[in-house]
Amino acid sequence: MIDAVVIVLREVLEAMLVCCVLLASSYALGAKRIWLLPVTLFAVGGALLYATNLTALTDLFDGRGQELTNVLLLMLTGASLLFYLAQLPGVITQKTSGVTPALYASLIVASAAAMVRELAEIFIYIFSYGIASGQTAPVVSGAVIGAGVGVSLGIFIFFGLLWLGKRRCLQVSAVLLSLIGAGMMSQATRFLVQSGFLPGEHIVWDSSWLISESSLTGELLHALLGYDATPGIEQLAVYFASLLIAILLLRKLSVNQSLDVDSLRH
Amino acid sequence: MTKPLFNLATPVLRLLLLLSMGSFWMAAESAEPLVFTLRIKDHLFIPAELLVPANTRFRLRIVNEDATAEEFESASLNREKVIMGRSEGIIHLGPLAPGEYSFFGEFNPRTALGRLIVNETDHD
Repeated sequence: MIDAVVIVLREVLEAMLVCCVLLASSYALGAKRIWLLPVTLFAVGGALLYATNLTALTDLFDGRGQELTNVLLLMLTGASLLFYLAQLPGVITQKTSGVTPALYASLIVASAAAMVRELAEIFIYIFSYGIASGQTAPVVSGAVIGAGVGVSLGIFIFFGLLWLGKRRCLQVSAVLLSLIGAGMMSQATRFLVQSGFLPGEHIVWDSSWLISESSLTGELLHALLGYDATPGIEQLAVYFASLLIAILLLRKLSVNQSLDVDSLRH
Repeated sequence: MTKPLFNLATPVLRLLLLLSMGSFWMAAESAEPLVFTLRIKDHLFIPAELLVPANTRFRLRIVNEDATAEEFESASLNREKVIMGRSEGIIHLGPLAPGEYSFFGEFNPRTALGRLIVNETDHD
């Protein structure tokens, strides 16, 4: 059962982080709808579709289907996070109340794509492994605990970010989203290497002796910064390129510009 | 709103260009790829130690003979792939430096353990 808790928790962590930071950021901008709920329901459907068709999907494109689906979902998350960040300075300076349709679109796409990927793996673990091997009780109860811990952590981060106040919340969450987005792009690059689209010949460093990827610290750093103990040169290039784009997009959000964020919400 | 969109479009285009370059590079690869096979049976990897040549590009074919799904995962090889029950998957690997690279089955992390032994002398 402990294994089930850990497996599900590590799958939940990444998507949870994307969702709760986006949620906090959108509420600080004045979003009034509970947009995450329908997105979650949609993602559950998408993940079930993904999980039930994975065998056929894996065989597509000369055995590269699974990797390319992951690349698509990761890049979709990464790109829509950047799209969200691109709009932030504009929305804040215009002082228009709340969230524009374009902002909603990027919120929805980023969180949905992140959730589909992680939920699909959880469904595969529960149905195609746990229940299929007759370990229904330990796997399902472990999964419920793991998901519960992950969601509680998300709620904690969500309220923590809002507690900072609207302005700080927007700044901190923008930084977090830049880092998470860069991590997603780096993971997408890793799947391109795994499917043979990129060479992946040069491993830049090996820090597995310091922080193992499968340790709790490693998992948290992975979800937050896209930590990889043995990153390839392509991964690092894409990571820093994505981070650089985020910094360029966000430079208007710097502290010295007096943005009256607190007047956003009526 | 148009300016940030434009800023975003350029790097995306660059990435697409990089990807298309990658696929050309792939096409230039040898037509007959080197394939090593790993089986999953009763939630174990067979063989648990697989010998592969150093500094060579190859493919790892993972055949899951169990009815249940498994996820092949390796931090040192930087690979992860779900292999559904009674199906198989391909992972592109290498060129690897000589040494040992451990992998495990994520759904059976205590028992489904294995190692890739990368040997210089194995190379012909």
